[in-house]
Order: sequence, then C-alpha cells, then structure tokens
Amino acid sequence: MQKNIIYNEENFKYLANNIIDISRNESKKVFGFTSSLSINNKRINDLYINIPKNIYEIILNKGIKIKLIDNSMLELDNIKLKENLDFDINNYDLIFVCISNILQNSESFECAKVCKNIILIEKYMYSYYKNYEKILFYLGQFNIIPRGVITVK
Amino acid sequence: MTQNINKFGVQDIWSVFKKNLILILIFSFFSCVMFGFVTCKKMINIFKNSNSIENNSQIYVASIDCYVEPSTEILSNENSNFCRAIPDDIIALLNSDICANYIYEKLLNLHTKEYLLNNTNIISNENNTNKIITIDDVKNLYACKREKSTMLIKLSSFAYDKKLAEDILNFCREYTNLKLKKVMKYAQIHESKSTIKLINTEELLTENYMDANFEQKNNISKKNILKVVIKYFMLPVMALVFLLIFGLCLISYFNPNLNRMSDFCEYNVPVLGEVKK
Repeated sequence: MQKNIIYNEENFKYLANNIIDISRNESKKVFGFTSSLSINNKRINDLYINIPKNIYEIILNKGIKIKLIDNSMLELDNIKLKENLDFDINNYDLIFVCISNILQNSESFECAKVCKNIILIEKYMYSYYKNYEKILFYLGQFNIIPRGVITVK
Repeated sequence: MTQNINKFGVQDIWSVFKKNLILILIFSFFSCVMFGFVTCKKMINIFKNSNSIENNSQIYVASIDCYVEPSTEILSNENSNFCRAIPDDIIALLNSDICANYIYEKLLNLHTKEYLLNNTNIISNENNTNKIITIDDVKNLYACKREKSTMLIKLSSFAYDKKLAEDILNFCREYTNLKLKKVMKYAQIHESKSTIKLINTEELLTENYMDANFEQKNNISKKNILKVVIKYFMLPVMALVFLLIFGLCLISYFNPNLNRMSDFCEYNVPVLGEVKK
C-alpha cells in the first residue's frame, strides 16, 4: 500500500504566491506541470498530481478562478487539450495542466507545447542531471519557457 | 556534466546511502546469512577438534630431572653469578626455535604428521592433512622449568601416546647432550631416571608441569574462534557491503543526481520553492 506523504503546507502557500506573481505578467495563463522524473517509480509518480493539486487548492481558497486538468494519464491528446484550453481560457484566471514525463512520453511533449509555460517538479536524489539538462534542451528547442522549478525534498 | 562530476561530495554519498538503504540492508542480511553459514561450518570443525581433545582426558607425561653442576673451575671463580645463570641458559636454548625444529624433524623421521596430530594436543582447525604444524605447536609438546633458586631443571613432554611422550623427551635430552654440552663447557648435567605418568589433562595446570604453556594453548583455541569469526564472517561481510556502497557511489558519480537546491540554480530556471515533508 502506498503511503501518503504529508508535505508542509507553508511551502505550498509560498509556491502558490510565486506562481500568482509569475502569472500576472502572462497573457496566456496556462501552466503545465511536468518533470524529468521517471513515471515508473511508484515512490515519486504521485508528485505529478499531488503538488499541482495542493497549489491549486491554496489558490482556489484565495478566490482566484483556477482550473486543474489532470492529463498525467493522457486522457486528452494535444488537439483535445488545445480545444479545452481555448474554451476555458476566458472563464478562468489560471489553468494548471498535469503532464507526465515528456522524456518518456512523446504525447506529453505535445501537451507541453500546447501549454507553453512549464513548471518543472524535481525531487532530490531521484532527479538526474542528465535528464534535467535533456528536458531543458527539448523545451528550449520548441520555445517552451520553463517558468520555474519546484524542488521536492 | 564534468562540472557536475567535480561537485560530487559527502552529501551526494549520503544521498546514495539514503536512497539505497533498503538494498544495502537486504544485501547485508544475505551476506550475513551466507558467511554465517561458512563460519558455522568452520566453527563446527573447531569444536569437533576440541571435543576430540577433551575426549582424550588423560595424557602421558614423561619427565626427567636434570641437575646442572657447575665445574670446579667456575666455582673457584669469584664471579659465582655466572654459574647461577647456566640453568636459565639451558632453558632458553631448549625453548628456542632451533631446538623445537630439531625435535620436529626427529619426530617426523619416526612418525607421520597425522600420527602427531592425533596423539598430541596440537589443535587443528582444518583437516589433519591440511594442518601445518608450527614451531609453537612443537614447543607446546614439552616444557622445561627451573626449580625455584636451584640448579635443578625439570624437563617434561606430553602426548596421548606413551611412546610418543618418551620420544619427545628423548629428543629433548638428545638435543641437550648434543648441542648444549658443546656450548656449556663450564657445567655438567646429571640426569635422573625418566618417569612416565598418565594424568588427567586438567592436572597439567595444577601439577606445575607447564602452567604457562597449557594456559596459552587454551587461549589459542579461543583466539581461533575469534579469528574464524573475523576472517570468515566480519571481514567478508564488511568488504562486500563496502564494495556495494562503493559501486553505488561510482554509478552515482558518473550519473549524478540533483541533491540540493543550489544544483538547480545553474540552469537559469528560477527555483519557485522547495517542498518538504
């Protein structure tokens, strides 16, 4: 049975404030959350969803209109995702999209292209320099801006 | 990447250890089981041997008294301390490696190594065929002791076989006669008639035959157990676990992880925050 890890709430509040600050300068307020971490590792695969979800809840409590789209299991392909985002962009102040590892899944990378703004989630001891550099290189190739990185201890 | 390799430090080693703790523990457990089994086998061998010695609860002790009589030349000499030291010199020579080697070679001419191992209190950890009889083992087969403040030396030999005990004593005497008489020009050695007794091994300690030697032998068997535990259990387990950690560190060195917040700062991507448990 997988153990639920309880994270420090203050850290999420800090992260939520930082993301709100970044989003103020953006015209298209869609943030994709991805990572260089392997999706096959059971100990870390919940990070893709849990961390954006916690930040989402904090921002929601602040009264900001926000939507969380969990596409970590790739229920939506990039075309459908684009359609959804085009529809939601006028109704919400912020949209979070959970995307699984773009190095391991080509469809995830297509989703990242749709989001344009990417926030990386990396875990100490599990994230490799090699993969992190690779992910930054791929994102750079398609002018996808990594807006920041969230580190997990 | 070379920059990252250069940064590999204590925290990274600690991270490797933390990350692979379960693997290290499982590996240590199985190493302990494997080498524990090997050690148990070795220990059983030692106990089998010590049991065979305990079974031979009685031992033959052949002994002889030698009186060292200083020559008149020496006695007339003003320096009488010189003749007082003669018995100590004889004991020192009998306890020397040369004497032990002489006795061992003589014994091997008469008996086989297996016979010596089976009929003496030489403890063998291995099979008798593999055991090497050392000089110290031979030295434990006989003892010579000076009676307190006298010129009398008691020479004794020990074996589970009567003939062997006599042989060892005879070789000691032979060595004394052959070698010592050449050296000791200033004294004559008068020997009493040799006696042979069958006594309990425990009596060896109480009867003052070889109080130091036999005690030492018991310590050797305890040392052997400790030696076996260290040699066949502790060292291999420690070496294997160390090798595993070293291997994991080596893998991590060539494919490093991001282990601290500062590692992310090099890439011009702002760190939005750190999530802790």
